Amino acid sequence: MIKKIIAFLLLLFSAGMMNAQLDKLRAAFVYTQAGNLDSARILIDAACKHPETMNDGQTWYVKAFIYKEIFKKSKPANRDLSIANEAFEAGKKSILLDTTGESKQNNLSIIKSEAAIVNNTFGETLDTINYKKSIECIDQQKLLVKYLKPKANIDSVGAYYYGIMGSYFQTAYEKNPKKNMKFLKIAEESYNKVLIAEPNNISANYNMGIIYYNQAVSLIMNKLDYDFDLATLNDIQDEAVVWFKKSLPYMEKAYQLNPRRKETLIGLSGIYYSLHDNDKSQQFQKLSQDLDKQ
Amino acid sequence: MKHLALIAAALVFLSAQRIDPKEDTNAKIKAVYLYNFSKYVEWPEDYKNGNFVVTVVGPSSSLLSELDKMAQKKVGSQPIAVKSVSSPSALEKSNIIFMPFESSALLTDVINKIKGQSTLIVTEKAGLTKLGAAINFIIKDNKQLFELSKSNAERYKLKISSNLYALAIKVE
Repeated sequence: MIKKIIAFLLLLFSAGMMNAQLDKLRAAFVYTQAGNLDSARILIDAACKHPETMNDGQTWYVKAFIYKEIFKKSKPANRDLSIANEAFEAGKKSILLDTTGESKQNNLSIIKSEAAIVNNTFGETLDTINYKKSIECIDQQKLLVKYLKPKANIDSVGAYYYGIMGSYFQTAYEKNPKKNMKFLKIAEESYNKVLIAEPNNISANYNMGIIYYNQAVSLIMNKLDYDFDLATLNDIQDEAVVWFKKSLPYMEKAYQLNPRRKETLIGLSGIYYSLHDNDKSQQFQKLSQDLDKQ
Repeated sequence: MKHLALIAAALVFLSAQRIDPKEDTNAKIKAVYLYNFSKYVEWPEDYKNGNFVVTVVGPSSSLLSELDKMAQKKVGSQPIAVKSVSSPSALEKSNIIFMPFESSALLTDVINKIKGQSTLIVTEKAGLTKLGAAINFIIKDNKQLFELSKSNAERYKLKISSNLYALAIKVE
């Protein structure tokens, strides 16, 4: 990338922009190479506002590069997505202003590189502390992909990341269900976003079913104590039935989408068993066993 | 390392966490009911010494597993002992006999075997209170509830508390 930038700047410097503003652009680039991004940023921001350079695509190209470097240089948890977005906007503006089309590929390279950094930042911040940064990354990535691949289904891009997020928090919850209830909420919200974008996503439907099923199971197996009286037992059963019933349509949907998925058959058998519908429970258990024989 | 975690999360999403069949919620609810019955039923004096015996007739591995957890508690000062027999002929003195659905056909044999004893018979098939069970689990609105025949309980010299009676579906 650096080699490309140098080649491009040599072209830029020989292409007629021979004035004080060019010196500033050159200095901004030198600062960037030296790792002095704060100084580079001051110079490029000034160039982007100066009448002599603000309408030159090359100025915005340098800005895109510098802002992408600023974004990349920070530790993942500290990365400011507004900086990434400024780099993206600068790259787009450079392409628009450059009527020769010479810088288009270079700008696209910067935007692709930014998309890779945003993708990595999503993974690097996907934990129980920094996950809000991950969510910001999803939003930014959707913008980048929409620009780079105009025909791509952007909702599916979001669904991909939210599916991973849901799975991460579902696992985090299950490590300590009593303590980590808020993680379950995040998992539920994540899967909901997947299902809004892709109602026929089997994994999201199945996992949503599992989340609600496990809520009911946890209520009975962990919360229900032998010392509870019969009135409380009745209340807990009522609550568990609500969760089991909430689980059922998601698991049924996963079954409709793929009737031969063993986990779903086991899941449906379990839900119907817990709802005391033994006929249906056994029906799905048999389907699951039949799959083993094939 | 973080990248590996991301890949793992993606794989978990695309694969599946399975339901754990060992977690039998219905068995846990039955076990909690049975422990409550021990608190709301009064047995004659000679059943208040030694172990408080709960016997399951027939196979019910998941319930037995839950009852083993229940056996860590006590009924008053009595330690709980959980037993399992495959046929009524093997029955010994028990405070409670539970008959899973699959063992329902053995009820008459059980009643004959424990004649003269003070045992709370708990079943889980419709109509068994008419054949002598004091308590019978039923399913209503996807929940486990229980029918109670006070006269059947009294036949075995058992006193039912008003609290238990109030929460039961009464049958005679």
